[in-house]
Amino acid sequence: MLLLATQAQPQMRAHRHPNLGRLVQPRHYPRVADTARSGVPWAADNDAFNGWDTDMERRFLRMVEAISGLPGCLFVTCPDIVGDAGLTSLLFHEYAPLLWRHGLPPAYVLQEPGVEYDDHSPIPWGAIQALFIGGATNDFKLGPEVEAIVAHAHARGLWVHMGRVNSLHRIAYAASIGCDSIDGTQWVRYRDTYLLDGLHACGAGTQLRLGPVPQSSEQHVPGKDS
Amino acid sequence: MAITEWEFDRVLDAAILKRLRRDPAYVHAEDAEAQTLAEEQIEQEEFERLCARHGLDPGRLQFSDNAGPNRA
Repeated sequence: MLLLATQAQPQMRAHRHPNLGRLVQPRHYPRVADTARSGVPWAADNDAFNGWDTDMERRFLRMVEAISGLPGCLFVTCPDIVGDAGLTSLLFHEYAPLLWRHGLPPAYVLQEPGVEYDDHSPIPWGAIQALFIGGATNDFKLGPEVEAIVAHAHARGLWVHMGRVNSLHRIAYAASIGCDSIDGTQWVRYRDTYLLDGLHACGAGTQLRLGPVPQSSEQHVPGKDS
Repeated sequence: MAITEWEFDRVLDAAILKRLRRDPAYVHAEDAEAQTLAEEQIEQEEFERLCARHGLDPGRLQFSDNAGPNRA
């Protein structure tokens, strides 16, 4: 399983690792092409974590232009609204055709509530190449419904990414349900302290089979006191 | 004041984006390398600022799975 880091490319050159990739964002648009050509696995996010507006759209479209046709892209997340599956679906259908025209693989961001996992669901299975597990709560993200959705995505041969995976336990959980990649703030801030632990956990992959995450559990702490 | 992991990520991301839109070192960087360095600096400063505001040690940050980063 890959850990996709959002840090700037020059700093990440010092952290070559088979489980390390890049998650470029619209804020990086002047440098995304260099990242894509650097040989590391890469995907593109939409910077919509704090909302979506015309300025965000302008930056997103500029990034799409910059990475258009570049090889090796795992996925590009279509714009989404955190915690709103309905609006996220509307945005997906607005932007996914644009990504296809640019030769980029669209990812649909899974948001609660109201998701289903059969072919009659809001998830546009036939129009995506990747599924991005978003969601505002861990109860949703780590719950049985998402686990079933991930299994269905894999049966369709889709890449599955889980966002905001900020503990070693959650890395192990993501691997255990078959996620192909994750990202998380925890691993890239003070990366000399935290990144290697995250990469090792990603490398352990499905060797770590875990059950559902207990609601109140304290997890292994990366860094000095673990 | 305690902050949840969710709030921590959202506030940090918003603060970084706000700086990236205004900070002269980033906006007027000479080239992509300089812009990258400026971005790195901004990210680090905002991370440390948010940690300090909530009494967190940035080098010993802890996230539990269903709560915010704990005090180290």
